[in-house]
Amino acid sequence: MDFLNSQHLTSQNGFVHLFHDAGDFTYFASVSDYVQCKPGIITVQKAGTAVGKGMQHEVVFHWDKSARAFVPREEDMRKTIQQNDFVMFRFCRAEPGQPTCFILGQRGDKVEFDSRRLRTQQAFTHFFLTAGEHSYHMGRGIYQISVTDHREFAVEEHKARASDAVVIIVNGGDPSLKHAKIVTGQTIIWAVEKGENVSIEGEAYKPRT
Amino acid sequence: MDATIAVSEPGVNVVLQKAIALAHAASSDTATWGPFQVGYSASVALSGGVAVLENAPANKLDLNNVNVAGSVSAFFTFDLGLILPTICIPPFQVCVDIPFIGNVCTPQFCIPWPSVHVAVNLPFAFGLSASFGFRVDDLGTKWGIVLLIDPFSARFDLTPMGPLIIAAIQNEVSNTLGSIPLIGGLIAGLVNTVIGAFSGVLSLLDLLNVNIPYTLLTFDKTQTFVPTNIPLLGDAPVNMTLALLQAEVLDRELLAEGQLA
Repeated sequence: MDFLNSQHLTSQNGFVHLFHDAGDFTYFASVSDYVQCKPGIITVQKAGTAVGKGMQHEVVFHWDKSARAFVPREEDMRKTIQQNDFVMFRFCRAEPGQPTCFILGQRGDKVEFDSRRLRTQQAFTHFFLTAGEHSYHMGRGIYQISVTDHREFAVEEHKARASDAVVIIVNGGDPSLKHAKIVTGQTIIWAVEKGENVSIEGEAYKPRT
Repeated sequence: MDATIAVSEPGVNVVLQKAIALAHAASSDTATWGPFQVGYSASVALSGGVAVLENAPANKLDLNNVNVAGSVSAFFTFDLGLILPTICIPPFQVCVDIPFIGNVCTPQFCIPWPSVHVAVNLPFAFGLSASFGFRVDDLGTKWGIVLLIDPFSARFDLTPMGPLIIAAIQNEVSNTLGSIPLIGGLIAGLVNTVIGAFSGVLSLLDLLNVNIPYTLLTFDKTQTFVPTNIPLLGDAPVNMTLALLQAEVLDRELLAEGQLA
């Protein structure tokens, strides 16, 4: 079944951070606050790009079994982007025994972003593999996601549905869509327009009978 | 016999050394079959060697210590991406415009099917000694004294190289593809089956057989005899036909005896 929790990222998740300020940032994916990881570097150059008009960049991690650590692709170890560009941190294929992790970004000693605590202009994505009734809580509220098995649709119909990403805009602890209805193979994006310490944590799962 | 020509053992060595210096052969080929491409190249060259003539009734030429050196190489390329569809997880990547972030494209991971290139090169070098008999062949306008390899003397054959190359390729492919989770072993087995089908092609590498038998000496069937009184006036030159030719070894000389008509 799907493990839905923005505080514990799996290969089905993505984390988006928009870089407002120019400067050098370090980042890493870690399984624990007590584990040191070799960081990658993102250099943000000054640019006149407006918020919402920046480009997407990607940092792809894979689980290194021998090192027991998440490692970015070689080309992602040092990236240069522009102000108001954003980075999608995501994962390569899942490896057996791969743990969950979080992504932390720093500017000097100061934490710039932490995927466990979503805030304004960040996003969390989850690709749903399992049909059934999912529920999750965000702040004090509990919300629903109904996932229909792709086999209940004709191929073309499923393709049309899965080609449409569902975006849930989060303001404070309040999602724009309380009950999302999707099909397996579809991705939901939780985009935080305004908020601090937001997390999406799966509560219960009922398979379809 | 009406005419006799003798070639001494050193003379035979000179002729043979020239022949050996030119005896190099090379062959290569490639074939493509869907995602598979195979190819091989082989080369061999001879050098050195000493010829010893054995008198009748043996009537043999023993060729000793010829250096044979060359290499057989083969390559095998297999690109799974040419037959397997691209598989991406999730199957669809969607881009959505989120005003306060930008145009966000959802994560997607596509499986990179491996492409395997395996190349093996097997150099070889050995000494060759073999015995040859003589035969006179009618070559149309010429008679030829031909060396025939004695089937019971030592010879060489590149055929065993084929399975050796195949085994080396199979080992490499298994090591490379076998690591793919779940289906790696299955794919490796499939690929090895295909490689095995090329064993027949590679086992045909018996390059030097094309040079045996080898024509050592040739004589025109029409021979012109010139009178001894030339340049004074007298008998004109006479053309005579070499109707028959025999070859044998006597006193470590190769004798070619002809009957004129």
